[in-house]
Amino acid sequence: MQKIWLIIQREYLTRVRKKMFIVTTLVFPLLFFGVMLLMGVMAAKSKESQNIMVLDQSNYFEGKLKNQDSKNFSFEKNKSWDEVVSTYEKAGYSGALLIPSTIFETGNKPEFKSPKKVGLATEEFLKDEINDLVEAKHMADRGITKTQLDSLKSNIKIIFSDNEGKRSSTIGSFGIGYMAGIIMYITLLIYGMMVMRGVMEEKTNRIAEIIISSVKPFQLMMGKIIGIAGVGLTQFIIWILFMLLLTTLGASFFPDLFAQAQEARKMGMTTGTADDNQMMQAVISELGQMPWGLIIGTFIFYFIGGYLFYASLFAAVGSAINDDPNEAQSMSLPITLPIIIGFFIMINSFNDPNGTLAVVGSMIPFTSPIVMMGRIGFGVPWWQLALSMSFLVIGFIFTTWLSAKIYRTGILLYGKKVTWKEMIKWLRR
Amino acid sequence: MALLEIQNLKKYYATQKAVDDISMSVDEGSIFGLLGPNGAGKTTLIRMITGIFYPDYGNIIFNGKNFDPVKDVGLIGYMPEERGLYKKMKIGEQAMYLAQLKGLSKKEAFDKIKEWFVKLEMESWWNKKVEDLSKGMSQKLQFVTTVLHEPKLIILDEPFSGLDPVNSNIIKEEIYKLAKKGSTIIFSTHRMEQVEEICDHIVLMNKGKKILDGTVNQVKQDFKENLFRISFDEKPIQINSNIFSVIKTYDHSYIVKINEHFKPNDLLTHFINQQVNIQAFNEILPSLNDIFIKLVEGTPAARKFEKVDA
Repeated sequence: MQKIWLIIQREYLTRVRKKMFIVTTLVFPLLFFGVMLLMGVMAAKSKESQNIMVLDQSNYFEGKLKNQDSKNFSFEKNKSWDEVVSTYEKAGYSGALLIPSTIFETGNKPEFKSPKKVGLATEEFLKDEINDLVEAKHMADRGITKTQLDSLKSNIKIIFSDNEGKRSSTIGSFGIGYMAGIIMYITLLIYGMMVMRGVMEEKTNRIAEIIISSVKPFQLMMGKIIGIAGVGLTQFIIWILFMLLLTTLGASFFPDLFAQAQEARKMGMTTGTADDNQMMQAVISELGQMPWGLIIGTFIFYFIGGYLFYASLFAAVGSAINDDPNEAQSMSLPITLPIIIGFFIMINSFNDPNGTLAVVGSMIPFTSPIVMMGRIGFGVPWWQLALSMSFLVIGFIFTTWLSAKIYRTGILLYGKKVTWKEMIKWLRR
Repeated sequence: MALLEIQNLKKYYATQKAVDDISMSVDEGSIFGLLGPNGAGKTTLIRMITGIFYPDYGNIIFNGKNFDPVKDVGLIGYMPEERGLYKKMKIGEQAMYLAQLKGLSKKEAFDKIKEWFVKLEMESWWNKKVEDLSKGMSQKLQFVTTVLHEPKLIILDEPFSGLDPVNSNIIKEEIYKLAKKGSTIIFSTHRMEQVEEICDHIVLMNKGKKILDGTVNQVKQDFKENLFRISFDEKPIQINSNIFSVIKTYDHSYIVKINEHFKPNDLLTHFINQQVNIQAFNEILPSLNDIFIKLVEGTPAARKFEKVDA
C-alpha cells in the first residue's frame, strides 16, 4: 500500500511539475475567455460601413431609407441604372442599389452592385429594411395601422414543468448537457491517452522490469492510473477556481449584465414564469434553476468512473505496443471508438432524452459517462441513475481486472508486435 | 548453507519450454554464474527468482523458507539486462524513488545514496537528468540502485555490457566487496572470461535445461583433456613415446596429451631419463569458453519453436 502511494506521488508530481501542465492549465481558460472576448469584439466591429448610391425609380424610399448602422444612402436622380453602375465607384461609393419602379405592384426585385461581395450582415440589413418599408406601404394603402397589426400577432409562451411544479428548461438543460458531455468526452480521451503514453514510456525505457522487481505490475498500473487521475482533478479544480474568479471579475466589469441576470433569476423563482422577451435573460434564469449540486456531483462521479473504466484499458493497450506511433494509433482505435460513439449518442439524446437509445446508452459503461451527462439536465429517474452508476462501478472493476492480466504480460515483452488475438490469449493465463 | 534453492522449476510458454525442470542451489556469500547462450531461458529463470513470473511448476526456497515475492523483494536486488530509467527524472530523485520502492525510508534512502554516490564519485550528478548521462554512467547509477538496499541476493544480468575497462573494474571491486560482506551474487552472462575470473560456482543452461553444474575448478577438471605444456633448455633427443602424443611443437616446448593409463610423472620420468633440463611443466585446463562452445555447439543457435503440451 505504501509502495502504490509512492508510485502515485511520482506519477502525479512529475506531470504537475512539467511546464506543459502549467502552461495548459493556466493558458487554457485564458485562451478560452480570450477567444470569447475576441469574438465579441469581432461581432461588434464586423458592421461594414457602406456608402451606397441609390437609384430609386419608385420615388418612395428617399427619406425613409435612413442612414444607420454605418450604412449611408445617397439618392441619385435623373440617371439611368447603367450610368449609376459605371460611376458609383469613382464617386467614392462602395455599392449601388436599384429599386425598380414596379416594386410595389409586381414585386420586381431590387438590384445591388458592389465591387466586392458584401457581408451577410449587410445583405440581411438591406433585405429587412426594404421589406419593412414595402410592408409599411402596403399596410398604409389598405388602411391598417401598426397597432392593429401587432394586436393580430400572437406570441404566447407555454410553461413547461414537471409534476412537482419545477420548471424543466430545455435550453439550459441542453447547454449544460452539451458542455458536460463534451468536457467528459475530451477528458476521457486526453487522460486515457496520457495513461497509455505513460505505460509505453515505461516499457520502451525498459524501466518497467526494474520497477516490477520491487512492486506488483498491478500496483504499478494502478499507481499510474490514480496519479494521472489526480493530475486531471487538479486541472479541473484550477479551472473551476479560474471560472469563479473570472465571473466575479466579469461581474465587477459588466455590472449591468449580471444585475439583469440576478433580476431574471429572482423573477423566475418567485413567479415561476419567465415571460421575458429577452432570450438571454430567460436562459440565465433557467441556468439559475438547474440542479447544480446534482450535475456537479454526477459529473465528478462519471468522470472518475469513466476514467477508471477507460484508463485501465488504455494501460493494457499501452503495455502491448512498442515505441511505434502508428501501432499505438491502430491498437488504441477499438478503445477510442466507443468514446466517440458515446459522444454521438449524447448528441442524439437531446432530441429525446428519455428515448430508448439515450437510456440504453446511459446504462452501458462504455458510453454511460458521456450520455448520462447529456441527459442529466433533463431529469433522469433515480433508479436509472443508480443502475447506471452500479454498472459503471462493476464495469471498471472488470476492465481493471482484465487489463491487469494483459498489462503484466505485455509490459515485459519487448520488440514484438502484439495482436489482439495474442492479448486475448494472455487473459487465460 | 544455501541461500537460494530451486527445485524442478518449470515455465512453459505457448511455443517454448523456456525453463524445463531446473534445480540448483546457490550458497550464501558465493558469486554464482548463470551461463547460457541467448535464449537459453536465463532471463525467464531470473524473473521467477525475482518474483516477476510465477513458475508453472516447482519450488523456490529462499532464505530457508518458501519464496514469497511480496515479502522477499526487499531482500533481492535485480539489475535486468534490458535496463532503463525515467529519462526526464533527476538522478537523485530517481535513486530515491527506486530505493523507497524497495522499502527504505526516506532518510535511509538518502543516506545510502549519498554514501554510494561518494564512493563511486557521482556526487555531482544529483540534479542532472538521466537523459544527460552516457550509457556507462547510467549503468553505474543502475548498479547503485540495485545494491543500495543491501539485499541478501543480488542478481546482475550482463552487468558489464557497455562499461569501459575502468568502470568495469570499479564495479567488479564493489561486487567482490559485497560478496565479502555476505551478499550472494548471481551473475547472468555469456562473457566467459569474466565468469572465470569472478565466479565460484556456475550453472550452464541451454534450451531451458541445465547442462552443467559445479565449481569453476571442478568443471575444468571434468572437461580437461590431459593436455600439458612442457618446456626445455634445449631440444630433447627422443620425443616420441607411447606415454604421450605431441599436439603442438614450439621452439623449446611442446603441448602434449598424456595417453590413457599414464600419469604426468611417467612423462617427466621419460624426459628426466634423457638428461634434458625441464624448465616448466604445467597442465592446460580448458577455458570455460571452450567448454561452453563444446557443450552448446551443434545445437542450433536459435531455439526452434516447438509444440508444448503443458
